[in-house]
Parts: sequence; structure tokens; C-alpha cells
Amino acid sequence: MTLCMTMCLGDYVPVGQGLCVSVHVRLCVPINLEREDATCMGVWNCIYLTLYLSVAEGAWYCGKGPELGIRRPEFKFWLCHLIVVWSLVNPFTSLSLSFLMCKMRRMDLSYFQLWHLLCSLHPLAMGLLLDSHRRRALARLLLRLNTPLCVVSYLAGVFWFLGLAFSPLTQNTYISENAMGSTMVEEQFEGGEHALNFARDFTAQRRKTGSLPVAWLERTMRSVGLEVYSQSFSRTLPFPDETHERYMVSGTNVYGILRAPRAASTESLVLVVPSSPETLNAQAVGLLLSLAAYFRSQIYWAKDIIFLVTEHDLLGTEAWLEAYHDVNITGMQSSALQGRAGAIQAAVALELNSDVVTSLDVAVEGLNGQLPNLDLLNLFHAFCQKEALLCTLQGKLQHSDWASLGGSLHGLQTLMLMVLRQASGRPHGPHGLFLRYHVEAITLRGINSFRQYKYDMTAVGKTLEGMFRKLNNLLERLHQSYFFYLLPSLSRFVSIGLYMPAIGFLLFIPGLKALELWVKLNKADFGPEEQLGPNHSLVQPFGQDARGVALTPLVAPVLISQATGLALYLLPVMGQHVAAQHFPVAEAEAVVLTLLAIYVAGLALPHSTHRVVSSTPRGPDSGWMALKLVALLYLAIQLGCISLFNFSLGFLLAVTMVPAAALTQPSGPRFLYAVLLVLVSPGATLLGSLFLWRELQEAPLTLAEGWQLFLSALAQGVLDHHLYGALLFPLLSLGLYPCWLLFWNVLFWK
Amino acid sequence: MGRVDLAVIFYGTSTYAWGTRVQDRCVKAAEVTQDIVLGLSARTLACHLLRLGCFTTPLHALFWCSQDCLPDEVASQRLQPKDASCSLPPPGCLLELPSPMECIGHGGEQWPESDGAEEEEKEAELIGVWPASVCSEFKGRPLMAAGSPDQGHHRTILKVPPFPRPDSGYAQGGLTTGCASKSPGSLSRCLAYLTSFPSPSVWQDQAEQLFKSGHTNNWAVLVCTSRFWFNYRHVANTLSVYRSVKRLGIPDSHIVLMLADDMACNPRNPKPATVFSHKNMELNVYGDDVEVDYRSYEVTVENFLRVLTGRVPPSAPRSKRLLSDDRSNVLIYMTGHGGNGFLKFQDSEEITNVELADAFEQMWQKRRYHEMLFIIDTCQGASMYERFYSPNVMALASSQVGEDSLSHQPDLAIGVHLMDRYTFYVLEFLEEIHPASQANMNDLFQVCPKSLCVSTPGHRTDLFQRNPQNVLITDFFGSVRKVELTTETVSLKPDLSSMGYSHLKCHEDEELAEPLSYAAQLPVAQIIHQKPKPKEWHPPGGFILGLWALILMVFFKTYGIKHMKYVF
Repeated sequence: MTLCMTMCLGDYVPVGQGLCVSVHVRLCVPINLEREDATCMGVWNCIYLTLYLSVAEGAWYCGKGPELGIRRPEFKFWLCHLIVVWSLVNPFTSLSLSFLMCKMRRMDLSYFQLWHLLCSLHPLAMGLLLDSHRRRALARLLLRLNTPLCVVSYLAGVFWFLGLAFSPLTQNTYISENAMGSTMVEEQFEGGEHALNFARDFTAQRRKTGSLPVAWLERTMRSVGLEVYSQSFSRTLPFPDETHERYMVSGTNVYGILRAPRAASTESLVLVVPSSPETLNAQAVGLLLSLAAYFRSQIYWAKDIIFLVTEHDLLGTEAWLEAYHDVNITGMQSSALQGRAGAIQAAVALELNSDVVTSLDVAVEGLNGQLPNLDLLNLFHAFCQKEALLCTLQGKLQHSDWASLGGSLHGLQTLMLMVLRQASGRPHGPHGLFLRYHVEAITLRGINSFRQYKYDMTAVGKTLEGMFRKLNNLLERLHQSYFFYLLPSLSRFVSIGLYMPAIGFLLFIPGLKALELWVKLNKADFGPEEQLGPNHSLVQPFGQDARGVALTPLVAPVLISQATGLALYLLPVMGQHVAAQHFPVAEAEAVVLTLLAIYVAGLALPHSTHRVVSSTPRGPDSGWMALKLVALLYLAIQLGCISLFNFSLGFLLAVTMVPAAALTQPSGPRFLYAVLLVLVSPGATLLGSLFLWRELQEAPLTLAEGWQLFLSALAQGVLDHHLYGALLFPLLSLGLYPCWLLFWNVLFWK
Repeated sequence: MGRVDLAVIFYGTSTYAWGTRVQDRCVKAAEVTQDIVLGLSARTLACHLLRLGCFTTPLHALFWCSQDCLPDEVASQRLQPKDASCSLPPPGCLLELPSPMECIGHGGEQWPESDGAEEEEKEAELIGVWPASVCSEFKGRPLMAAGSPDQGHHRTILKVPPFPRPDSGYAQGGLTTGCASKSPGSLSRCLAYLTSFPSPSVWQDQAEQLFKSGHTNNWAVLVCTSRFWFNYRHVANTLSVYRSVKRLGIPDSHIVLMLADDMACNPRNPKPATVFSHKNMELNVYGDDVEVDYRSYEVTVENFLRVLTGRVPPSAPRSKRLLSDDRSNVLIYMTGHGGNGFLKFQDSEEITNVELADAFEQMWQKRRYHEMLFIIDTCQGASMYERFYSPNVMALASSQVGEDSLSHQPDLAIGVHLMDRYTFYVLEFLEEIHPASQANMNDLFQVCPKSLCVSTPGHRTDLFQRNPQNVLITDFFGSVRKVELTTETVSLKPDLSSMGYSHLKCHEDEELAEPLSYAAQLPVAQIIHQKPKPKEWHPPGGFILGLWALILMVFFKTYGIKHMKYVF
């Protein structure tokens, strides 16, 4: 509130705005005095802000965005969602925060006005609620309509999501960045054969040295006229990585810098080829060298170009990136870089393992579901079309006919694959690590399948030449196009404004359910016979209030659940050696098994929590209701936050957990509820996603394979967290798993 | 220094006083007193100039007006050089103006002594209208004449050496014999001649006929407002117009070229030090003689408006000033990214159509142009001229409101579009223009039809006084002097009897000059490999219409109306 007041006095606040704010403050004051109503308002906030969200998104969708001054929808919606979630926590900060954000980001005031209008509706609604008659009427209406509303909202969310691949919700992609323009380039790269010679030499040298042939690479790079440097790094993994068979890793990255002949070295582009013992990428290295030789002979470069060959694929890339930006976030030991080339504007990672390719697959999903700017993908797509290359997304070709049902279903399949990959939060290629440093990057993979028509290195090289020519023209970082999108195909996309309602509908349900619980907990207040004023609760001490929510009994289950989550997060890696000593398993297995053990052990928690929880003096149901109320709000906040930075993960979790969470109660068919809850627990969702993923890739898993894949995915998830800072593991173990345990507690409440 | 030792006042054609080494304030004085000049009080003018210190001593003023306007009395008193080696033009009167005592009314004031040595070396360059036959000598010193034929008007550049000192030169100078003596009687007679001139409007009308376009000098302000490599085409647009106006004769000193970015030296340019306007590197508009006056970050709205309105800081060099006057035809060409009612400058600011219109009005009020041609090649360009309200402005735009202006000439090697469509066709049109071309503005209006431009070019002529059909392209794009060297001898028959100067004889120049013709200055067609397009023959529209009608009739006759659905 003080913030609101300062906003009023702020010099840049127009008078009208200031008045609005002060009105808001005035209306807030009486509400703030009441503890109960403040809590009530928190619940109402869920509903109101979900509504705001839908309205704001609707406004953009109806094409009113430009009129309202919304220029870059995704960023603003990002912000909008942030504010929404924040206001779940504290409604009073929401206004100030939104205003601050508008000012900080120099957003248009008109957008703020829209938001402000919605915000100022909010205290009016609160004022409405203060009137006990109206409140009672509303409460009755809400109780009656609650279940149908929840069902409708859930179905709307799911169908909205499924509808994303269909034509009204998808748009054609287009290049927004003026500086790149079209594909107006005369590709003159003819070094395909040259590249293959380099590749053969590289393979031979690699066989000779047994690791990355650093000396040969340095010599070759120097011979084509680059400034060559190398960087050595070493890293001991938290536990042995069985998939890649590595534990103590040390390697060397080699990179050569092509200095722009007529520009200052303030900006650069990166072409990176990861090389590891399993995937040599010899052809990619050859093409990189051949391209370097060709690029060296051109005079039109305005940015330096860094040709980087990393060892141990992502580990090397991470080491190089950390050293380039002079940070150390993952405990990597590496030597400092001797040569730099300014801020990296964009990067392309290349993976080629055959002399000819039938198609190029592009990977966009990066660490924690980050995506590169859509323009980079558009650029690649444009050159694919220009060079008549076959380009695939998620390994799927584009359907020829978009309008048809088959085309849309195909798009849905591709989109689901993207959602699953994005939800995993893993970097799907070296580009994924660049995204953390706000370097737009994609990975191109050469696929050599059984198709008849093959493309040689020259065709791939020409595509890369074209892309680099265009990236060279950039004047700023890529920022014009979308950062948040889903792709049903290479040529079509769904913007954030269109996919967010899906999760909005789903998050509406916990809010509604919480409200219902709140009303039920305060049943007496809404009874026709009692006429207690709103100030009544203020006078009474909270603990003795029969109608209020007793928070003390909830402390124990919440704390115990959180402690279990913490154990799940810490123990597997910390206790791996102990486990390996006492059980006949290797360290990697020990980690996974400990993980599973703790996870399953959590299921037994209700029995232990009940010992701690003392019996409550209130009605029989108030205990679990209060717990469920807290759990629902907790779930809504978490899912809201997750969906902000990784929509796919948020949606997958919401679509599974929300209905089960809404249904859970300690009465009725408890066994059914229990099965349902177990099925939607984060671990089970992961298992299910793996099956779905392989199903969509048309390579279905058997149960045994699925289980093996699940175990390795668990290990990889933990490893990704420690090696690259992936957030999925901590999110699940510290956030969603405890939340899920709360529902489990509700189910077995006595 | 900084004074005028000869004032030449052209009645009826241009009301300026020219002089050597004219200080700004003296020119201003002449401007201020223009009405007085028109009001025929030459004495007042002279006094005014004198008071401002524009003249050295003594006052010499050459008054001249067209033939018919002179009263007989003056014509009869025509003044002739003493040595009579040549004749002054018949309709002239060269007078000596009154002494400062008479002007100022301070009897005792003496002429200030001037630096004789410097004054002697001064050379006056007089540019003005002069009848066909000119003196080869003026007050005993040679007159150098140069010129070229055009339009049947007489236009000569006279180079007059400085006058001799008062004590030595002018007393013997025969030119002013009629009023030479300082006696009050002769002075009053001169003044009597002056005051008996007919009304100035008559002269104005006649001057209109004499000078069809009414301008004496040309200026061009060429502005590219866009930065960044992908806006290469805007720089090429501006440079191509620069090339054309320069080729047609506007010197660099009269062109203010503003380029917001340096494409030639951009590191992305695969052909450094060039800016091409045609595909396949056919026409490089960035030659080795391009003088950019305002470059990169100097191109701002403020600087642009300062150039137009003349409010440049005193330190600004001449090349950065638009030193036009009310006899200047000014061409203003702008290109960049625009929208409805604005043109973006430098990606950071914009000029609105209202600001531009107000700037033009200021220019008009400050007599900074005689006529103005405004051309803009930008999206929704027509919105930029719709607010103009100052007279004598003709405006062209590449597109109507709501339309985009489109680019042309995509070049794969350079990797950008080289030009915009509108300017591309304007350039093609201008390449065919030479200084003697009679192409008029109507031709320019039709230069880029919608079929070529995709956008609809617009033009506005309601503020312009003349019919665009009578306005030559070279009135704005060139600096073509209305000069004609006659090949005929004009026989002057002064009425000697009334003047009483028997010794006057005109030596008439009887040499016949060779008729001059212009050589093609640039083999344009060969440079851009474009021959004039042969007109394609099209069958007349009516025939085609008839043919279609026949086809349709046969169709309906054969299949009937019910098969219509198979057609559509």
C-alpha cells in the first residue's frame, strides 16, 4: 500500500492514474483491516485474476492488441502472468507491481490502463463481497455451480490445447527481423568435396590419437587463416553416467576466430560442432573447416565468426560457454579462453555423421524449455525452401495439406512431441546451452535415411552460408519475433497468447475448488439465521474461531512433506556411496534406486503425520478441508509459475494433477482416488510421458524397455541438474512432489 | 571591405541589388527595400544602402529596366560611354546617385576614403538580364560576356572590373555623362527620370514573359533518413537523384546532400566504396565526386529544419547551408521509412507532415524560395504533402496514404534491394533528360504508373501557380540559365539628336557566332545497357472487348447458361 501511495506521488504518474490508484487504496483500506476477508480476497483473487488473464488474452486474440498498444504480445503476457501469480500471493502488490513493470519496461501506458481497469474492478468486487447478503447469494451460486464449472473448465483447457494444431489457432511463420530480410543471398560455397576430405583426415587423426585431434585441428584451422585457440576442461560427474559411460571427464575444445575484415570485433556468430566418442560428427567438422576456408575468403563479414569444435558434446560446450562469459555455474574446471570475439549474437550447432544427408532435422528445445527466437527458425526454414532441402521438425516432415484433418492431426502429433521434449527441460543439442546466455541458437542434424534423393555437403554448406550471411546482417540481437511458441510444423506456429488460455482454464479449477472449500469452512457465516457483521471475526482471536481456518494442524503435514521433498532432492546424490557400500549396486544405480525408494516411502507419510497432528476441536471435516485448501492454492501457484517459463511442463503437470487434486477427499471411493493420485504423481507422469513420446515417434516401447528408459531418464534428469543446471529435478522434488504428498495426506486423513 | 561599389538594380525583372562582396546585411537591406525599389524611390534605396554602409564611395548604381518601360524622356536621355567604342543597351539608364550629403542630410560629411589598392582589384560579377547586344567595354574597362542561347531570352553574364577611384576614374567615365556632374540640376533631372517610371506591376508582368520560370538559381536538398545496411536502397535513391541533378548542372555548392548512413563503407558491402542503383552492378551512383554535406548522425530532424529555414549556427560552413533566395527554385527530395503523416529519421525520431509544412511556410515568408518541388519516396508518402499550405510548392510522392512503397532491384550478390521502385523509374526518366530537354512536369507525374510502381504515385499542384505543363524538368533538376547568345546583330538606334552627344558611335559586333549545341554528356543508355524500349503494339481495347464478347456469345450459344458454373 505504501508502494501504491508512492506511486501516486511519483512524478511520472499522470493525474488520472494517480486518482485511480488512490481510489483503489481507499477501497482497499477497510478490506485490509479484516483478516478473514483478506484471506477470502486471496481466494477471490484466484478467480478474478484468472478472469483478467482470459480477458487480456482475449483482447489480444480479437486483434485489439495493436489498438491497445500491445506490440510484443509474448513479453507482455509473460509479464501479465507474472503479475497474476504474484497477485495470488499478495493482491496489493499486484497493482503496484504491474505499474512498476509497465514503467520499467517502458510499456505503453494504454496497456497499463487496461490492466489498471481490471485491477480497480477488483476492490469494487471486494466491496461487493463485504456486503453479507450479496456474499451469501454469491456463495450459494458458487456452491451450486462449482462442479459443472470445474468440469467445463477442464474440458475447455484440454480441448483448447488439442485445438492448438488446428488452423484458427496456428499462424504461418514469417521473418520479422527487417535486418535479415529475405533469403537474398548468392550462395557460392562449393567446398563439399573439400569438406569430405577434411572429414576423412579428421577421422583418421581421431583414430590415431584416440581423443579429439587437437593439434591437427589447430593446424588445419590455422592453415585456412583463422586465429586458433584451445581450451581444456575437466569435470567429475556427481555419479557415473552410464548412458555415456563417463565419470571423470577431461577434454579440449578447439576454436578458431575469423575476424571480420572491416568491422570492430564487438559481435560474433558461432558455428559449433560437438564431437564425442559415440558421435564423432566427422562430416560436421569437415564442413566446418571447409566453410571456414570459404568464409575467410569473403570480405563482407561484419561480425567475427567463431568455429568451435567441442569435445564430450554438451560438457565441452558448457565449459566453453562458461569460460567465454567468465562465469562458473556448474563447477566445471576449465582453462581461461585466450581469444574472444565480442558478444555472441547467434549460434548454429551442426551434427552430421554421413557423407550425404536426406534431410536436416532442426532442434529448438533448450535447457529448461527455453526456445530460441522464432526468427532463427524462420531463417532456417526459409533457406530450406530456397535450397529445396528436406527439413524436419521432431523428425517429422511437414504435411502437404494444412487445411485437411490429416494435416492438422499430423501437426498435433508434432506439437505433442515438442511439448514433451520441451517439458523435459533438457538441452536437446548444444544450442540448448547457448540459450541460457541469451544467444539464439538452433541445432541442425543431418539425417541419412532410406530416401532416394540425397544432398551432399555442398547443399548443406550453402544453407549454412546463407544463414550466416543473413545473420551477419543483424544489427541487434534477434528480438523481433516470438520467444514463446509451440510448433505444429516448421511453417506454422502457435503464439503464447493463444496457448496460454489452455493452462488458464486448468488453473481455474484449483481456484474454484479452493473457493468452495472456503465457503464450506465458513458455512455458518453464510447460513440464513446468523447475521454476523464483517467485523465479528476481527474481534475474535483467530484460533478460537469455530468458522475460521485452523492453520496450526496444517503445519506438521506441510513441513513433513517439504522435508520429504528435500530428502528426495539431496539424499540420492549425497548417499550414493553409502548405498553402494551396503547394497550390491553401482553408484549410478544407487542414485536411481534411492530416488525411487524415497519417492515410494513418501506414500507412507500420512500414517506418520497423523501421529503429529493433534485432533482438532472443530468439525470432523475442517482439518482435511483446510489442508486441501492450502494444497490447492499451493498447486495453483506452482503450476502458474512453471507455466510461465515452461508452458509444456506446466500444462503436462496441470492436465494430470489438477483433476485428481480436485477430486481427492477422505470420503467416497478412496481406493479409486488413491489409484488416480498415484497415476498422476510426478514420477508416474514422467513414465507415462516416455511411453507417449515413443508412441508419437512411432517407435512404441515395451514395458521392460519403458522401465529401463524410465530409470535412465531419472539418472539423466539428476545429472542434467548437476551438470547444466536443469530445473526439472529440483522443481519436482522440492515443489510438486511435496504438494502431491499433501493431497495424499488429504486422502488418508483421519 | 564588405561594401558594394556597384549596385545594379534590375527593374521589372528582379528587384535585387547585386554587388561585389555583398555582406549579408547588405543583401538584407536590398530585400528590405525591395518595395521601395518597386516604389521607384531609387534615391531612398541608395540612401538606405548607404546608411547601411554597403557602398563604397562614390555611389554608382546601374539601373536598368526593360525597353518598353522606360519613358521616352529617359530613352532620349540615354547615356552612352564617352569613348563610344560600344553602345549601352538601349533600354537602360545608368545613373549616378546622389551624394551622401543629400541622402543623409549632413552637409559636411565627406566620403570615407577606402582602401584603394584593394578596391581596384575587386571584380564585380553581374548576372542578370541583358539585351542582346552588350558592351565589350564598360567605363573604359573590358566587359567579359558569356552565355548560351535559350528560349529567345537574353541573358548574359557580365564581368565588370571594379570601378576606379572616385577622383580618377569616374569623372572620366563616360557612362554617366548625362547625370555625371554633381550639379543639383542634373541630379534632379535624374530623379525626375526615375520618378516618372511606370507602375511596377507592369514590369512584373513583362518580366514574367521575359523569364518564364522566374528563377535565377537552383538549389537541391536531398535527404536519406534511414540508417542500417538493409536500408541500402534509400541511400541509393538519394544518390541517384544527386547524380541526376548534378549531371544537369546544379553544382555541389548548391546541393545539400544528407545521407544518414555510409553504405559504401559498411563492412557488409561486398563491393566496398560503391553504391549501386542497378542490378548486376550496372550503375554505381557513388562516384568519386560525391560531396556529402550531412552524414550519419548529423542527419536529424533539427538539422534538416535548420537547413531549410536557414537557422544554422554561424559556424556552419557554406556547404551546410541552403543559401537560397526568393529567385531560387528549390528541389527537396526525401526518402526513408514513413507512415501516415510522418517520416522516420535515423530510427529514433520523425518529422511530421505538419512540421514540414510549417517549415516550408517559414521558407516562403523568409523568401527562401521562388518555387519548390518536393519529392518523397516513402510508404504513405502522399500524407507528407497533404498539409502543405505555402504557395509555389509542387509535391510528388511515391504512394498514397495507406499504401506501401515498394523496393526494386533485389541483388543477390550485395544481398539487399538496391532501390525503391519509384525512384528507380524517376532515375530512368531523368537519365533521358539533358539540359535542353523540353520535358515538363506532366511527364514526371506519369513516370511510374501503378503497373510498375505497385503503389500509386501521387502529386499535388494546387499550390503551384503555373501550369505543370509549362514547368520544365530542368527548372528544378538542372541549373539551366536562361541564356542566349544571339547570332544576329541587333542594331541600336539611339536618338542622338535629343541628347546632343554627337561623338557616340556604337561599334556593333557583327561576328556571327556558331550555333551551339549540347553534346550528350553521359552515354546513359550504354551505361545501363538499356536501349529505349520499343513501343509494343497492342490491339486496340475495343477490339479485344469485342473479341471477348464474341467468345462469350459463342460460348453461350453452344452451351447455354446452365453450363456457366463450369466456367467459374
